[in-house]
Amino acid sequence: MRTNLPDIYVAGDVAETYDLSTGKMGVNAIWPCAFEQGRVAGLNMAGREAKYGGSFRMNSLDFYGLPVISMGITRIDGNGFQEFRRKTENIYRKLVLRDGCIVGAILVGEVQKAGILTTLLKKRVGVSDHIPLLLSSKINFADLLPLMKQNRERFTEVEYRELSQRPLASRT
Amino acid sequence: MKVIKVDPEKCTQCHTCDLWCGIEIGSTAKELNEAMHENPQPVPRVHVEGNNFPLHCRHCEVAPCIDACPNGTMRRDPQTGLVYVHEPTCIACWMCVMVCPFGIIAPSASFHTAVKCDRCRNMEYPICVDVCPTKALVLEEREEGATWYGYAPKRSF
Repeated sequence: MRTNLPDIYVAGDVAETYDLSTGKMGVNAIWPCAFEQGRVAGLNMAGREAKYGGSFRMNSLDFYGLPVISMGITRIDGNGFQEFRRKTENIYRKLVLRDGCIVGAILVGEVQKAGILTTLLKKRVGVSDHIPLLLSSKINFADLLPLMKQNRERFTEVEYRELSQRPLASRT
Repeated sequence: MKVIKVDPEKCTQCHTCDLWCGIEIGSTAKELNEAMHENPQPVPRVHVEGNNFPLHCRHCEVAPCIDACPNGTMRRDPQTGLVYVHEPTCIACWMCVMVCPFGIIAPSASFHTAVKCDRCRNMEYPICVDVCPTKALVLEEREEGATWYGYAPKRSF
């Protein structure tokens, strides 16, 4: 990634990047971000124009059999945030929204679909109408297909296009 | 590179795909009767989601799981382009689970590894496509000219 100095490129723990969850510049010193930044920096250094979308903090840990994943803003300070929680005996799930988009989440106990939330955060998809589904244990990719269809311009990767034998638009 | 495509309109929610996947890929016995009594229970790599959407690993062009894996357990086969888990080195940190855009990587506590579809990379043909009675699953060539940071990637597969 290009810095404000000519011919100096940067990636990893030293790189100050745009934080997608807070909307400010900051350092997110984690491995997945460093990896992507390295690739973008490398492409640019090799003369190919590549754009970095921004980073956000996230981490995953397994506390002796209790998996925990957190991402983005998890503690609210200030106005404009919405918070949703669901708690059962073994599961805790929290979503933090701002302007209808996910800006943070915590998942404890049940983490399999965490990546869907990460993607919705990364692509800044408005999810206000789908909160019960996102909080439930039944969250799955197929049920969020309508959301994907509404935001087609954000899901341009080949994986989404070739998911189905028919174009997604023709499905009801 | 070939990928499995889904036709939800043909899917009858019969779960033949995940049953056979669990037996052929997940179990050690490779036989229904014995697989049922195995401990830990075999984990299928395909899940019928929603009402009629069997979802597998999509073997993403820019795979976030490979990027996020801290020790190179999640790998791409250079010959076929398929993404797979090198089970002996998996430390069960679930970083891949955290970033999978489709939520298909299963964190298996009993096997202590991440479990995901490798599109039957050691077999001639994916078992789920083989057994699907309505042809809701088909194996098709990946679209050309796909985008990789705005470029069509150079593929050896």
